[in-house]
Amino acid sequence: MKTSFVRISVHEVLLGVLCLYLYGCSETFRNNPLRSVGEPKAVSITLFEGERHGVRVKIEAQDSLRTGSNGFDILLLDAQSNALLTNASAELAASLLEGDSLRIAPTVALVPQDGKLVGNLFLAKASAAWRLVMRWVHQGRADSVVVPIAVVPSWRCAPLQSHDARTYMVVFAEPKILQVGVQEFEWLILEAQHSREQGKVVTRYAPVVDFVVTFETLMPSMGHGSEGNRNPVHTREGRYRGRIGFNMRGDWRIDVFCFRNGVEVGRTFFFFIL
Amino acid sequence: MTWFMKTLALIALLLALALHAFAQSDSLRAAVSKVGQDSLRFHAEEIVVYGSASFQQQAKVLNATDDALSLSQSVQLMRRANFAQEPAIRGMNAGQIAVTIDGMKMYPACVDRMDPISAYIEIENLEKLDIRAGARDFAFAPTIGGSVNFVTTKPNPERSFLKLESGFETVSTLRRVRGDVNFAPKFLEGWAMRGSFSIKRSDDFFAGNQTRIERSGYAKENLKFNLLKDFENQRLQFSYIGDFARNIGYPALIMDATRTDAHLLSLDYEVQSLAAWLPMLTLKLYTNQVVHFMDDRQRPIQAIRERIIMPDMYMPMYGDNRTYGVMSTATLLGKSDVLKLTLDAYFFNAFADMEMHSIFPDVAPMYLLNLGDISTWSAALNIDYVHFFGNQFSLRLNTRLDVLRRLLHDELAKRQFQGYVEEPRFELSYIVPNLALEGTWQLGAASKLALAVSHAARPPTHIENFGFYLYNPLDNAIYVGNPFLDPERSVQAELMFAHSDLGNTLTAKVFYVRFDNYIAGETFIEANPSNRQFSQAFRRYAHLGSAYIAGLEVSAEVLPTETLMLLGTLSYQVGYLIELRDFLPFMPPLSGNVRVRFSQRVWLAEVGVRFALAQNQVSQKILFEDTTPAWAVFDIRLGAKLWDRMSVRLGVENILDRLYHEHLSINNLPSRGRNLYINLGYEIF
Repeated sequence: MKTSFVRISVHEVLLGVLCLYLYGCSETFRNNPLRSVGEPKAVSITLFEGERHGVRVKIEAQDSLRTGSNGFDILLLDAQSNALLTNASAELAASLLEGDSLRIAPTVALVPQDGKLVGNLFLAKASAAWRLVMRWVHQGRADSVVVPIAVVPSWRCAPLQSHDARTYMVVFAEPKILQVGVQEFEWLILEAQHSREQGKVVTRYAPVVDFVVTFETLMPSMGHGSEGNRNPVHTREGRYRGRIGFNMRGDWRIDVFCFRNGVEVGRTFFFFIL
Repeated sequence: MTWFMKTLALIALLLALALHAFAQSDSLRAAVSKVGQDSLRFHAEEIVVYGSASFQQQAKVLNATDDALSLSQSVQLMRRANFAQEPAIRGMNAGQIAVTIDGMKMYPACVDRMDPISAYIEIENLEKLDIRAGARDFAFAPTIGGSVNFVTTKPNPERSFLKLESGFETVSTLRRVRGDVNFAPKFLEGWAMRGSFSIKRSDDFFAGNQTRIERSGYAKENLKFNLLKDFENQRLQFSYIGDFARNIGYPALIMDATRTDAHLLSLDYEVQSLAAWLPMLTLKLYTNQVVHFMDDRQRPIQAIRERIIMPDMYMPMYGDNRTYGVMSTATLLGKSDVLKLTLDAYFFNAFADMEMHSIFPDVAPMYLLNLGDISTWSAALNIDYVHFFGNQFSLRLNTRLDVLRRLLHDELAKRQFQGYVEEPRFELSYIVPNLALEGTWQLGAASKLALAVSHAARPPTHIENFGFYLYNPLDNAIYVGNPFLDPERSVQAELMFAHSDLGNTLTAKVFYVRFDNYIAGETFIEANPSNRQFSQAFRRYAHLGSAYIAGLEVSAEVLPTETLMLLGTLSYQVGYLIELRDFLPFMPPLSGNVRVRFSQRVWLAEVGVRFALAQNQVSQKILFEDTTPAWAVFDIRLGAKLWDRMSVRLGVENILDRLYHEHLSINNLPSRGRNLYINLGYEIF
């Protein structure tokens, strides 16, 4: 039998294909708004921009300033040529004077990174009376700027309920933005050391380097924790690195237990919404 | 040499022999064609529902697709609600079997399997069920348990008709209206159109002893449309099925389905008699989509507070999927051979997510992805070759090679996995060869004996690979996928005997399935019963070792007189996981039915009993099944043609109103109690 394929109208076939194509564009509901709930994205804030003795200075906080570890990006430029001052050395310091109480944050040496100087500064208390001091040395000449800053409270800085009558702080330093999944983290553990100087109670923060730290994750409303966790170990200057997993968005609590010589020194927790 | 290489080598050898034999063919094609079709039919169980018979003559007993499925002795139904039940074949289910609609691949969008494929086909859409138990035919998928293909009704180019039917069932106050129209105008030669619809409304159903099952009602509409054009020896056909269900209560589960929409589209091209050796060539393009919402906000607050999983929490879930596919078959006739080649390719994408909202307002909502935008690409070649050695013996080779690629796209889903699987892979590839050999002996004029052996495998499902945080009420565990799974493999043997003489028939089958890497959940975090908020274990899909399923199925029809027919089926099987020393779950107990049917030209009456013995061989490690007591229920069904255009079907199911549940009923959801139903059909033209 002779067969003729051309009798099928091309238009009919195209119509069918078009129907299939249009159908492929039909509805879906995959963009659940809860996907984006959690910690807001970091928004950098310019704290200072000005010129000091031929050097243009720009100080940026990587995000709004909160209690805990805060990242800073510093630009030092030659005011004439706008060239980066790559051989300048710089450091950041901060202090908070409230009545007769003076808190002094640990000074941080800034390190060059991607054309900027960067560093993380620990700010212990929420207050609008902090003073940020940036000092630099360029071609043998020292200089500085002082910037008033306001610090808001954050879950990332947790005081340790200690058994040894000392005051410790556990700071969730990194990552700055937590996300679902397994990630490396860095905690900073500091001991608040008080002294009386010139009629004031001065508090300085010293790194704790001899803790053994364990932790447990928990979703309080769910009653379960997460997998992929690895207890942190000390790396340098009170910094402890470990691994933590979060298997969904929602409320999370991290219980932290600190030991010294096999004896629990204290415990604290972080509580936040991922 | 690996198992895979051995199988490939065997396939290549047998294919070469088959093609060699085919090349020598020259004559007797017509005879072979007829014998070939008969022989092929022996492999599949066909349950004709509507077929080509007229509407009034369907004084059968089928009210729903589930009724049609339950006529097969190889099929068991998993009950989760008073709604579409999920078919299992010989106790195998989910990824172990293939469920298709006119050969189209389609997948449930609900991760809790609330929307089995059978939900999308209403009985008026169903021409027949093509059930292939066991791994003897891989036409539709690489499968270990077998396949169920719903063959839908098609336009009739010969005549036009319009039929309406309404029905009522007392057990759930079900109200049903459905219609079927066929239009084949004389002035448009070669064109035909067929459309059907159904509207169903059901309240809560009653189990035996007048036990009301709360939250078990539903509302559902179904629509089907076909357009057909014949061109001499060619046919082009367009088909659409839309299914829309709402507020479906799932009393056996912790949530209800609030909305499920499904759209199925296909375009079929068929050409016949291209050459004497090429009688049929077909091409099908298809796509389908399912959108599914489920929620527990309709549940009483007390139930939320006391729930075993995530108390004090509402958990709305969403899922959707899309499938696009192409399928082409060529049937070739030889001197004493029939060769059918099938190319089967599809793309499937699935997504499901879950919100968790505490009843306490100060708790932040939680969110996770159950299926994080999972794509599966698959291409396969199926070769079905039958060689006839005279009229007494035929040998059939059915082989299929699938190449499958699966990807997890969503970055959030990938991160979720990081804590549960060490260095997970998110791009997977599988090559899955399957092979079945079957010899059929004609033992005289009335009897046949067949022996089939097969080496069958199936790839892991997308849920077994990449599913995340899926609650299984049967073991009260949370399941996590495993991207490192290999295909589940099996060796099978089946011996079949059929005898047919003057309308009396006897069919008996004995089968054995040996798995060598059975896939099921493996606990990696133990349950904590003292934790009120979260007592569940965490389980990961894994290979649990060797298992077997062995069983027999017997069915008989006896015609003592022209008006009297005795029908009966009996089946039994046992399944066991060797390494864990545990019975396999979902193994039906010894069960069957006996029916006595009286039929005259215009009426039909049937009295029957359905029964099952107790199932005490239950899984205690793979799942936590409990034993199921024996049960037996009696039914009576009547069908009659009242006038020329009007018919009635009525009956009483579970006459004694027995309270019972079947072994495959999820969470022991009771079966329906006494049900008086009546359906009135009217053929307008």
